[in-house]
Amino acid sequence: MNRLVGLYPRAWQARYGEELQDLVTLRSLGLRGSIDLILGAVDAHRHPELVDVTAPLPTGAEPVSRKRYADLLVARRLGTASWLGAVAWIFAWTVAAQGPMVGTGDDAYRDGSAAMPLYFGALILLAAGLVGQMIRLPARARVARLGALIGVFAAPIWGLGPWLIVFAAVLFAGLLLLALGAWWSSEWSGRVATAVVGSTLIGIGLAVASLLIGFRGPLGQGLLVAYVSILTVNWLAVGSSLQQLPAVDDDVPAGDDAIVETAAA
Amino acid sequence: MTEGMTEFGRFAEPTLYILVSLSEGPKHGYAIMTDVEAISGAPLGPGTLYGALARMEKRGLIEALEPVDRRRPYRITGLGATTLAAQLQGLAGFTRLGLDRLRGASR
Repeated sequence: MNRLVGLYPRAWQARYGEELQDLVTLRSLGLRGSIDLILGAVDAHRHPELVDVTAPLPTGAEPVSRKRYADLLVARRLGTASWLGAVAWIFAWTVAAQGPMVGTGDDAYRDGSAAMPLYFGALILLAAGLVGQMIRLPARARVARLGALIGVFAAPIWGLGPWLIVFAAVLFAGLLLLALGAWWSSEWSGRVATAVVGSTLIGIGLAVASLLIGFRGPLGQGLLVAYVSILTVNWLAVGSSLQQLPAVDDDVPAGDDAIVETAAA
Repeated sequence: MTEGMTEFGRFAEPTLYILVSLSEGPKHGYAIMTDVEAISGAPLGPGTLYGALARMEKRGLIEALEPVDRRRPYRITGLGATTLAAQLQGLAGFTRLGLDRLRGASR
């Protein structure tokens, strides 16, 4: 299959994919044709309403093999773990905010080490949700799967300490790739992808602002609370996009996940 | 020139060519592409072709027929023929006007 045809939304691929594929097989695209196809894919994403709704579209409601269903069930449980991670994330920062003050004067700081197990757990649970995404996302959603994979490694390392901001940056990059890639391949709805992209970008902005202000005073504390709150969206979005399960059909061959994939969350 | 198809945006001109192509009979995507290229003298990309076909199908100007060997032919509808006729008459009027003015200027 021409990879550029894979850039089209799934609904478009279901309706016009075979024809487009036939066309690009009959004639070499060249640079001009490739650019035209990419622009066509962008246009198709902008105008999903143009596709005939009576065309048979692959959705999450379509039956899958028992093996695939078992995999999706595991992914769903990992998504639920991600939700628990959201709770752990909020609790971790709440516990850290209650830590005892250490030192005096300008050198005084709040010791939040008691929150470290919760903090680590929250990020491990986010990584679990990202593993679920890797299970659920089809092979063709390469960018999204790469983003999830990056997050799987970066999240636990960042969990070793909030000061490891390089790994936070890597995790955020992975989340952005996951959201944009999953949206582009029509695995996530625009709403879920926007939530992850928006919360991640705003979270980064708030983190930078908090670092510049130094977490001191009402403004610094307020920024920190906003940062923690908004990033929680990522745990919730990663988890929620794993919850829908299709029906089982014994006639669907095992491992045939090219036909039946996940619905837009 | 394509006032009646302003809603097609950048697909208005390809739409007109595709309607002309289909006016001689049903064709599948590749046949439309080669025919339009022959008529217009310019290449028609697959993204533009299917962007236009989707819009035309949505607005009822063309209809898809049953696929033959993976290739789905498209046929112009009554509405498509009426729209094409109106567009061509507008173009003919425009052509006459332009030629008349050219003749007037050369006298």
